[in-house]
Amino acid sequence: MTLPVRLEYFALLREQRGLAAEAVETGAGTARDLYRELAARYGFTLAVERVKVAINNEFASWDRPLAANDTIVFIPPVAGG
Amino acid sequence: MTGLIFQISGETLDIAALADSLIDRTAGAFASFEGWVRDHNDGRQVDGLDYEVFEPLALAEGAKILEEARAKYAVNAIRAVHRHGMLKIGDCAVWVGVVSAHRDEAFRACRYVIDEVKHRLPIWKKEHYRDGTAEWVNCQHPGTGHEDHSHGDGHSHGPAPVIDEAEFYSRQIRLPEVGVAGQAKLKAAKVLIVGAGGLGSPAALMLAAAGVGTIGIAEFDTLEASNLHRQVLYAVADIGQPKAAMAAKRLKALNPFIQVRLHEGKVNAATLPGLFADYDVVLDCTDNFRTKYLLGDAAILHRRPLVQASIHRYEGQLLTIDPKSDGGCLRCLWPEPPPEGTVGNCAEVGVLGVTPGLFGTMQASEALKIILELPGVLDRHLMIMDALTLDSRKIARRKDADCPLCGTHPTIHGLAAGADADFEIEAADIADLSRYRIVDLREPHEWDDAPLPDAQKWPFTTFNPDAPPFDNSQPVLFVCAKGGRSRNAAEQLRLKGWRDVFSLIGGAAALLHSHRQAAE
Repeated sequence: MTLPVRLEYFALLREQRGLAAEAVETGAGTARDLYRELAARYGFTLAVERVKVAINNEFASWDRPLAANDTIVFIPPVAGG
Repeated sequence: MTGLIFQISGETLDIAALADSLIDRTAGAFASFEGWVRDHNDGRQVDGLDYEVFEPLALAEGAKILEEARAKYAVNAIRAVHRHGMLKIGDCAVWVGVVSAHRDEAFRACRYVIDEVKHRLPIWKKEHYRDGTAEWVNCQHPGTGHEDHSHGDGHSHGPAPVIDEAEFYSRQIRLPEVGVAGQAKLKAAKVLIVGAGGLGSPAALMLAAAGVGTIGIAEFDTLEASNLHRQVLYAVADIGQPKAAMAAKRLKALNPFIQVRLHEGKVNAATLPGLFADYDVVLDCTDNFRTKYLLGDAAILHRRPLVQASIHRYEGQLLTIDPKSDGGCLRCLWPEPPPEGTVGNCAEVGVLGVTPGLFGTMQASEALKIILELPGVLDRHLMIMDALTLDSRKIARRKDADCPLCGTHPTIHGLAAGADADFEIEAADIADLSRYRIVDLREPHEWDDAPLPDAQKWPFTTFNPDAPPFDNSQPVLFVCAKGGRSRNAAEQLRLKGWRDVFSLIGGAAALLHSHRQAAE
């Protein structure tokens, strides 16, 4: 079973993914599983512990189960000034 | 001995009683000043004046002025009273009396008090004209200064056009949420800006323009040509000059009614507690994780609101850490900084000047909202925005019970002293470079930017503190582009027990620059 979700990438992750947002069907149960799949597929250099995930405009636990039509934003820290 | 008394009064001043209250058998001199309401101003016939005072702040600031005067001139006692409410022509609006052993100190202290009262007190006056109209005018004049005037900010009062402080702020005083009281709060507020670069430039300009009474600039760097496309505080003529002093000059030119303080040392665990104690709000306009985490820790440990912004190419993020809020801190989101060099900074990845311009302006906006107690402060959200698409999100955040800094069982109880350690060295301070094994941590594509052909190459992407490609027979000097990766590498090796390992501040370019100077 897969779920339709919207993914958004911030800063370094956007560059490594090569786009800002996409709609995907995912079989991952949690944001952590989803990030790991994406990291393997697109060569993300940041480990999951270094990144924060927001689901539907709220920071969320990596273990939160995903739901259909969630908007998931992956946010690495940035430091430029 | 009456000591120091500062009052705000709604009653006609009884001058004789005021003078009598200062009688002191040990004093040889009494000097007083009276400020009267006169019948004209700027060529207009004046009927009377209406003084509006933001009393809590006026009393606190007035008391401070008297203490300063006593410390400066060692007088016996000072009393000062400022009126509020409606005054007629000829009424006494302000009275200052000083008693001291000798006349000289009495005159000087009296002059100091009246000048500072005029300059610093949150008092507005409305002039009522004979033609029936009325206008708010300033009580403060840029350009007035007493002898040996010094606020420790290095500014000087040159001749300046006499402008009207109330008019300067009139468009924002008109906002019901600001008003005269709000403007007085801004004037009394102290905001520290750490980092006067791409973010700090617009933030400082906006806060100065808005009338934040005291702005601190913490910046150790000098201006380079490559800064100017985004650091809009500065001009070409400032290249090579210390940024803090140039910033102060620019801000004072923009708004002569404010004070600018310079902090030209690096902020670190030793200096931050004092700095946080001296300011009401702090803006983190720095460009590296180490300082951002240090400031984030200081905000919680030293209980001050901190507005943090960080940018990456066309994107940025903004959050306000309020120690009183349940929104949490930087470590609630990312408990540890990522290893230096894994996320990239402006020097490495490039930046369009408007991106820090937008975010620095939003930092100023947050500071103003905090000072004015306006709603919508970002203390329970993180805002991210893309300047290209203008897509933005406000993401709700809450304090993390497991946060090492502000959680229920914190493990961080003090500021990291790492930044104090003496393993970060300046090229100019190296007496004998040949003593060191120079190790270049840059990636191959960076080598041509500032070539170091004789350095040993150890690209940071291959860095492993357990397997350095050298032994400890010679002191090691790590070099990268700016000093971030080299500091990280030196720290990691030191954690592994290496002692003579150093990081070069300013990176390869600084090394070459110092070489060239030595050769000349």
